[in-house]
Amino acid sequence: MLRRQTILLIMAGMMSFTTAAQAKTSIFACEPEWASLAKEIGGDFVKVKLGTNAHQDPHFISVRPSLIAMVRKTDMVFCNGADLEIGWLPILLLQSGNSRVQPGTNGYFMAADYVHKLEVPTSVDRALGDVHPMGNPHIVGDPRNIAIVARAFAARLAVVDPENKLAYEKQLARFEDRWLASLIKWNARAKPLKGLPIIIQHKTWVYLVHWLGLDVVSTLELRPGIPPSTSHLQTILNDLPKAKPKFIINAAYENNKPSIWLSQRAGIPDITLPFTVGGTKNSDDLFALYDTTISLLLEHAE
Amino acid sequence: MEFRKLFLIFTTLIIASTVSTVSVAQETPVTDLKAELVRLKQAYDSEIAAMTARINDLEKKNAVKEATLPQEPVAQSGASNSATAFNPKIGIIFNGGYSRFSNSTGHYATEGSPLSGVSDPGPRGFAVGETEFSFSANVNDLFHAQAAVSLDAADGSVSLEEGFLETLALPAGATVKAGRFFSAIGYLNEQHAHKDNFVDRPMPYLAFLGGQYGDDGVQISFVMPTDLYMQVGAGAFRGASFPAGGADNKGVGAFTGFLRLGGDVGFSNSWRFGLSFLHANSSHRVTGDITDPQADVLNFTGNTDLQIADFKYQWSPYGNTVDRSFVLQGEYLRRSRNGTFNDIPFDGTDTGFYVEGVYKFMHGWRAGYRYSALNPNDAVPVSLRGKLLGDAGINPNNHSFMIDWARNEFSLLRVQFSTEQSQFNRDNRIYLRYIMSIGAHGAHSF
Repeated sequence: MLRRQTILLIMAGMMSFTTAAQAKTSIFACEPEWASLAKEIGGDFVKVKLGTNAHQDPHFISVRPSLIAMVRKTDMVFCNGADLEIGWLPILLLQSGNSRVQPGTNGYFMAADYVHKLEVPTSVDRALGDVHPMGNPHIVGDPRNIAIVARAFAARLAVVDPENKLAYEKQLARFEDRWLASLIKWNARAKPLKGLPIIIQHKTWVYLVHWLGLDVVSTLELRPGIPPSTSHLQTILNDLPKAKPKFIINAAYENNKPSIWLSQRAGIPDITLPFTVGGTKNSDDLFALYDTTISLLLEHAE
Repeated sequence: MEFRKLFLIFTTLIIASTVSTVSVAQETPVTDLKAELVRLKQAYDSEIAAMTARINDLEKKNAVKEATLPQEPVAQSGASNSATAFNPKIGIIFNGGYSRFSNSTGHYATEGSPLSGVSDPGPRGFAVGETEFSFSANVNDLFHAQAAVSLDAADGSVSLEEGFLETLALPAGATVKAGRFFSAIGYLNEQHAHKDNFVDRPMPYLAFLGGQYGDDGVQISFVMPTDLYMQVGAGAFRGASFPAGGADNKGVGAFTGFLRLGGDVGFSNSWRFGLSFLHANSSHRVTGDITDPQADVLNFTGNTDLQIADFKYQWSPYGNTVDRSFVLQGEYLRRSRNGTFNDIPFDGTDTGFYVEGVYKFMHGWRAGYRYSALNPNDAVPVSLRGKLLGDAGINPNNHSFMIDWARNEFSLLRVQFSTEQSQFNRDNRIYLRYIMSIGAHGAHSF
């Protein structure tokens, strides 16, 4: 009885597959920043599905059944790469049964493959915490990376959907113009931040720090992925008079208890930055993300 | 920026030297000199302004260039020579600990379970569990291969727990798995025991599946192109391991089928529901410890039909499981056996279930409770009483409480208290366990 039902279900599934007409190229984005970029480049020719939100830690995502269903139907996966999603993306791709998005296919696009990565370790040991052998994966911190990824993504999108190649090129050009104008504006606004001593909670910020020329005097998470001990926080607190940091920054998805602990004792502000699109208010797209990030930093820089 | 600084220093030097030359060479009035200085200064100021403008312009152009030039994909670090570059992902799982049980007879038999090896709760005192070596990699663009080899510390044996290939490029959401692997029936069956929330498997799994059904065979599954997650699949197996046995029917003795549904309610709630079956033929399947004179050795020939309904629900704030989450999970199993035990005809059905809840209350810390129970068939022929099940008037049940701590995803320490009624006397158990993994970063399914 059960077996007959199973066969019927398989047949029903096959039929629905053959009749499903896909007008738009569908893109599964692993993180909000890449969903936003996919929309900028793809415009009306793509349908973007986002697998996570700005309040989830992209290192730790459950391979929820809904994600498998999303990846099953997608023409392309647009993820961060550099092992950020190592704990969940490989199994998600395997379980999806979707041959178009397996590693090595055109439908498999990893943003970090195209940018110069910072903090590439020469040796790795898990005693140092959750270190990434391929370098720090949090490339979204630097908007110049977005421009590089945009160009590579547009080229790949044109391979996956050659019919709309011209449209993607046009949309890329328009995006690049707007992005460069914004970049010049951000660079000008962020000038006072150069050399500013700050404290970071997790090594989420290396690209932002590199871009703005911030000076990181302490990192709360001694070992990435492992909450800081009170004794480590105490050491940082003791060193404060020497280092004179202006503020502590943490990402919207991070538990900011360690930052608040230090903030209250040190009397310096704790700033929750959006980190990605949608992390805080006024960060609904990529442009707003960096506008808001710089505004939040400037607000506490004086 | 450096250039601008140098330029300023240079111009200042020129001004200074010009002024000093002028003052030494000619005896002109101070007012004239002052006027000359102002004139010079103005001239240089305008030049500096022009230079600065040019520098700013160049900087802007550089920023544009830097931002737009696509860079070459950066070479991935890792293996330094081509011979080792293709090594598969290798991971090793260690587990072991300390156990203490109140039952002092040392003889364990669970009502409803004819297996002695799995109904006993493992060795007392200090003991190392299975050490598992896992290897996985893509074979090429069509196949992915994976193996799990386990070393059993108790008898020193090496066994191939899993060794299978999986297709990567079939159309219609299809995946074929072939080799030796854990069948996709139920929820826990496919999962390696080191990922379980409790030290031991729940009673119905021990009694009806011998802990876990893995066998040599082939399995096909389809993920449907629907918004709701829906997967159907079927498998055919050799039928060499419990609850099959004897590799009946020329080595094709077990069949499975499964259906899974799942979805989200917002970002915070996820669920999965499954229905599955296993049909197994057995030919002279021997269960029980033949070396233990107290144990009941049984020889079964016939069919076993198992149906399983499983569910899992997970809550976490915004879907972020790092600091807080709650998982509620359960399975209901129904088993029918039809055949002969020691040549005595038998036809009966037993059921069993477990429900568990695990709450992560802070980073790294979880607490959980599980209840599992069996409802054995009562109609056991008189001649099989005392050997099979159902005659003792006991409905076996088990309450387990656990608390565990993970430094990060690679290490876990767990304490578990269980109280189990599977014989006349209740057995109280304490387990201390460690589970460690080194090597490749594993990925976990839902």
